[in-house]
Parts: sequence; structure tokens; C-alpha cells
Amino acid sequence: MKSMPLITRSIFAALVLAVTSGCSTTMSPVPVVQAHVTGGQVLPHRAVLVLSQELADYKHEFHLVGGTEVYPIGAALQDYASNVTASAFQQIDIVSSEEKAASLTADDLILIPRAVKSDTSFGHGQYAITIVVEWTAKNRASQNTVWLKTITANATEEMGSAFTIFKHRRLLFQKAFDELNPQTYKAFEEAREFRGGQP
Amino acid sequence: MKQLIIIASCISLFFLPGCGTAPIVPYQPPSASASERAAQESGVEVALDPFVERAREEKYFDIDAVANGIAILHVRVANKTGDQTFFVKKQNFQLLRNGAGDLTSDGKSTDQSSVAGQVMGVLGAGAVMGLFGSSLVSHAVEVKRNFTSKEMGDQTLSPGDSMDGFIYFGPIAQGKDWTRAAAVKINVIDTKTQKVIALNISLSQ
Repeated sequence: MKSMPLITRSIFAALVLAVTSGCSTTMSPVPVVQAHVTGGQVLPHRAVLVLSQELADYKHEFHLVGGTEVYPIGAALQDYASNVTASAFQQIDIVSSEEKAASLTADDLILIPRAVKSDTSFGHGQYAITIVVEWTAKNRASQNTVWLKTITANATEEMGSAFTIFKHRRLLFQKAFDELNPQTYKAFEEAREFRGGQP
Repeated sequence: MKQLIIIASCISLFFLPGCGTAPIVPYQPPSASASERAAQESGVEVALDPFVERAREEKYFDIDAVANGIAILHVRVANKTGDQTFFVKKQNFQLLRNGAGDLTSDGKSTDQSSVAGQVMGVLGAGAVMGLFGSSLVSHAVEVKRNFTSKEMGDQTLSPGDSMDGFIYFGPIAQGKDWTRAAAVKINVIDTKTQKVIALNISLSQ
């Protein structure tokens, strides 16, 4: 060890730290382009979408050898929720809490998305991701739950090389949301509870 | 220079595509499984398929679940009514061990009071990993993600609809047949009347 030049020792130390440190690194918020979803009928409801702080603050943890990378995906989740409900329902108002939603008397339905969990894995040259979002629909006047559905989106993406790793991870998230949007839209369209004027 | 090349080669190994384990197979439930136990009450039909065979556990979950103290149960719920919607939540499934009250042949419990024996609530997919250890990070995270992917989600069931997925219980006695003298107690709620429909399904063959 002592005979190794300084630069070699530095690289060796960095390698050891990368493997054994177990540190957590917060990455930049993940940019996602939300897929345009159409094809179904516009559901005849004025709905209020609750985008809570909990959803906005959601972070995905990517557990790797030597540590954890934390990806803030709250903004992407909020955009997804806005995108899919705007496509599915006649009218959407957006608020930050259920209390505010209950006060909007012009609306008949409250929609509440919740990020339940998300997991990633790697192997065989691929990343895989699972994102689970639960949607609750409540009658605004009675506050009763009229519909609830859990959407599970899965996606895979090649790992790439040391120089393209982060690009492929961004693509992984994009693919997951490319699954979430149409699955959620389909769930809204197939829900009998949303057909007709009153939920 | 030679040392630098060796160090750089070692670093590059961490960036090459990993070996990991074989991809885990998705589960396609058969229309009727020989190991299924079913019951129906007030228009709600529930079928349970406990995973006790190591081969099946390893095929669909890539672990010997029973040896790790995890009970895996495949659940199918069908709404056979024409006008009612039911709320199906994982937290309303309980595994009853070592005595579950008297059961009639169609799964209805004759004892409406609380049952004797061990009552075990559902284990979330994330908590499952607390019972399972793996020396290989890539294997552990893939197993965990697979548990999450296959887990039954809470949902309402409209008339004529059905749903299926897996729920997990633990810790159970490692390596033991967890279905012996066991039953699953299920509460399903009518969303309009809030009436609770209860089923008890024995897992013993």
C-alpha cells in the first residue's frame, strides 16, 4: 500500500468508500413527460382533485450496492394526477387538502391520489421499477367513499454503462409513468360508479 | 500505471450490467386451483390459495417463504350481486391459527364472537423483507419489488367484478405447515349500507 502512488491510493479509497459507506444521496427531481390519454368518454362529473403535501413530498428510494439514491418524484406524481383526471372528467378543480375539497359545493366528487409505495431492482443488465398509487373517490356532500382502486405500474429499462446510467434511470421513471397514466385512465373509464350524474 | 489499470478495472466491474438472479415469473392464476378453498356469503365469493409448496414459492417469489417465516396467500374475490358495491381491504384479512371457532361446511362461522388462538394481521410487502435476509443486494431488492408488484391492492368491487392478488402474513413458524388448524377471517364492507359481511375460510385440507 505505501508503495502505491498517491493517485492510486486515492482511487482505491474512493472505491472502498463507494462500496462500504451506505450513504444516502438525494438526486434532482425526476423530469417526466405525462402521456396524453384519450379514447374514452368524458365522465359527467365536476370533480375536485386533492394534491396533498404528502404526495408532493414523495421520494423514491433506489437501494444499490454501497448506498441509497433518493429521487424526488412528487412533482411528477402531481402532474400525472392532474393530467389523467383532466382527461377523464368533465371539470377538475385542484386543492391541497380534503377540507378545502369538501367546501367546494359546485363539485360532486372528491378524488384523492396517494402514493402507496415504490420499489426498484436491478439485475441481468436491467432496472425494474414498481410504483403503486391508490385512488379514492368520495361523494363530496356525504364524504362517503364511492370508489377505490390501487394502480400498480411496472416498467423495465436497460442499465446502460457507467456513462449513461442516469439517463437510463430517468427513462425508467418515464416508462413507469407511461404505464401509470393509461392504467389510471382506464380504471376511471371502467368504473360504474362514475357513469351517470351522481356518484 | 499497472496499479492504476488494476484499480480502474475493479471500479468498472461495479458499473457493468449485474448478474443477479433469473427474472421472477409473473403469476397467472388458473381458473380453478386444486389447492383453493372458497366460500360465499351475501353475494361475496372469496377463494384462497395458500402457497405452501417450496417449488411454487421459488418459482413466483424466488424465495423459500415458509423457511423464512412468511405465509403467502393468493386471494380472489368476486362480487356476485347485481346492485351492491363492496370495499375489499387487506387489513380486513386475518390469519387465525390453532383454533378458529366452529365452521360450517360452506365456510360460515357459527361463532360470531372473537376466536381463540393466534390472530395474525396482514404483513405489508415492505415489511416482508424484515423477515428475509439475502447476502446479495440485487437479489434482495428484486425479491422485495416482486412482493410489492404481486401484492393485492385495496379496492371497491362493483357488481359483477372480481379482483385477485397476494397477501402476506408473518412471522410464522419457520418450516412448518402454516395452514394446519388455520383459517382466514375476512370482512368485506357494503359501501352504501356500511354493513360488514364476514367470512371464515378454513385452510386445513
